[in-house]
Amino acid sequence: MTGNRFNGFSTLGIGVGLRAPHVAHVVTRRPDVAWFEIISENFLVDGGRPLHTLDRIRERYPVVQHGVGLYLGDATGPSRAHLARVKDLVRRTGTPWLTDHLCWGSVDGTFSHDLLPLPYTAEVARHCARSIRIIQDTLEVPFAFENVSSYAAYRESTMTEWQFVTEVAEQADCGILLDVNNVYVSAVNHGFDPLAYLAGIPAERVAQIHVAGHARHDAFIIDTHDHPVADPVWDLYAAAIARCGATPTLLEWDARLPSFAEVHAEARKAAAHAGRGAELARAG
Amino acid sequence: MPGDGALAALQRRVVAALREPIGGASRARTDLPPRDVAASAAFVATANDLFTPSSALTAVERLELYHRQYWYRLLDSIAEDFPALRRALGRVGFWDLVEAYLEATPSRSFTLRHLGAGLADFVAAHPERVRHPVHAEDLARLEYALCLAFEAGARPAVAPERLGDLRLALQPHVQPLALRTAADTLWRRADAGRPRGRVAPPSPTPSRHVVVFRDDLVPTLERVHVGAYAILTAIAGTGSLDAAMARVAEAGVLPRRDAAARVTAWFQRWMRRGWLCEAEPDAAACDRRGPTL
Repeated sequence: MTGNRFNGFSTLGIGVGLRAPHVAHVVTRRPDVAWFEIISENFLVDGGRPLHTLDRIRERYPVVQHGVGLYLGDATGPSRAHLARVKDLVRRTGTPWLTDHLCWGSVDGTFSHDLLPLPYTAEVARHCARSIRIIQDTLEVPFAFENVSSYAAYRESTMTEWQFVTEVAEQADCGILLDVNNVYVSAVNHGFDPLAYLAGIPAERVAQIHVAGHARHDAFIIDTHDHPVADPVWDLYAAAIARCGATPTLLEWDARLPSFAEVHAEARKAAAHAGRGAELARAG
Repeated sequence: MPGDGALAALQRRVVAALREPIGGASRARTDLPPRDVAASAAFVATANDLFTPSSALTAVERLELYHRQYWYRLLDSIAEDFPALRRALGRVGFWDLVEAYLEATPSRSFTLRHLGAGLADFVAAHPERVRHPVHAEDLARLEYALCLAFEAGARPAVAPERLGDLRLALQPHVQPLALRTAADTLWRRADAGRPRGRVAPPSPTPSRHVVVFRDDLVPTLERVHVGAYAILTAIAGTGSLDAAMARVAEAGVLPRRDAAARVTAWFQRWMRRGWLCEAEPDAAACDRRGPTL
């Protein structure tokens, strides 16, 4: 694993998303995990248990910050106050790179607390790229955005999601956190080929990969992070590795959370699927 | 980046739709009491104007997926932050209140931890919404103070010999509260999983004083004498030990017997716990809330 400039040339392997119910286990049992991803907003506090816990985790593990609140597509641009808080946390964690979502979530100071999809237009791509440049200039750490899962498509979109992702990443000159579960969820919900998505994005910009579980309904899939990773998502992950090469990979599990051992075992499956991806790459 | 373009207009429409009341099958999956709510004409227009249908879902159904997730997320969060209030009001009373509050009060913080910031004031402004409005207001204020104590900062404690010559403040996690009800008892019972007990009528003026604080990373509270409450709030208000003591003496709230010894004991306790710190030089300079970039 050689890494790239969007993940600080990281050689981190397979990580696990740190969740509050697992913290005591991680601190006391010190499981053999390559790295943990934290949700930045959970630690944007002035004191108390969150920061105490974070410092203890940091003593033993690399920590990568993953945000849910920069809202790259908010019409009003990134919040100076939020960026200042995130920058304080960057100094504390020493995160080698930082990620957030290619979405919007608030307007006029009212928050949806959701990762809402954007219209895929050239104008919106330019707007997001401008926001990302502000974020990169302010935070001074490599930045990558995550593709979100979506359940709705805008009438005014003029390009595919992967074209939009590419436009934003290249205009902002930033990395991509490729969430293959989100690609799969959106592919089913919108009826596109997930392999076309993978083929359409600039592989050299993929800084990190997310895998997660989802919930299947009759007419759609919801990105719930409450199940093991589905087989088609592992297949997509192998295809992503074949295209991007070895990439830091993280399992997200947020709801109906099983024991840490179970989550960790699920994350470790990524190694075998990555091996499958490497074989696919060798086979051409 | 101006917020008045086409993108802002689109986002305003979507947020307005998300904030509409939840109804139908989506509502039935929550703890909200039954209520006949249909999608408004504006909601339907937003969906059809902005979104395409898929092979499986109409544009309205697609927007509804986001709409219900919005409500589920907010309801889960607020229920988690106000467990004692929920017990005190009962299922219907609590969820009626929460729904009215969330419909009236959009979230103005990046974090759901602050979602309940205005709940106590909302109860105070709308006492007709709940059966025991004074209890509900006290409990909401108490439980939100506990939420703040969880994440508030802690600065270096003042040494006893510096008390007289520094501009003082309370630690950010230390919050004195004046209550008109036994909200602290209700909270303790809820926290311990014990039955709620009798709900005594509220007093017309604050009759019970507590301090919410963080002890070894855990938010908690303790009842204090009205004189202790007055000293702490006066220190927070004046920043000066002398001014605070003068104000409290004038108010006549110190204990009638052994006042000096009891005040000394209070200070010893507060100093052991590190509740007093030096005030920040300029609070405004430390407030990073500013205009957006």
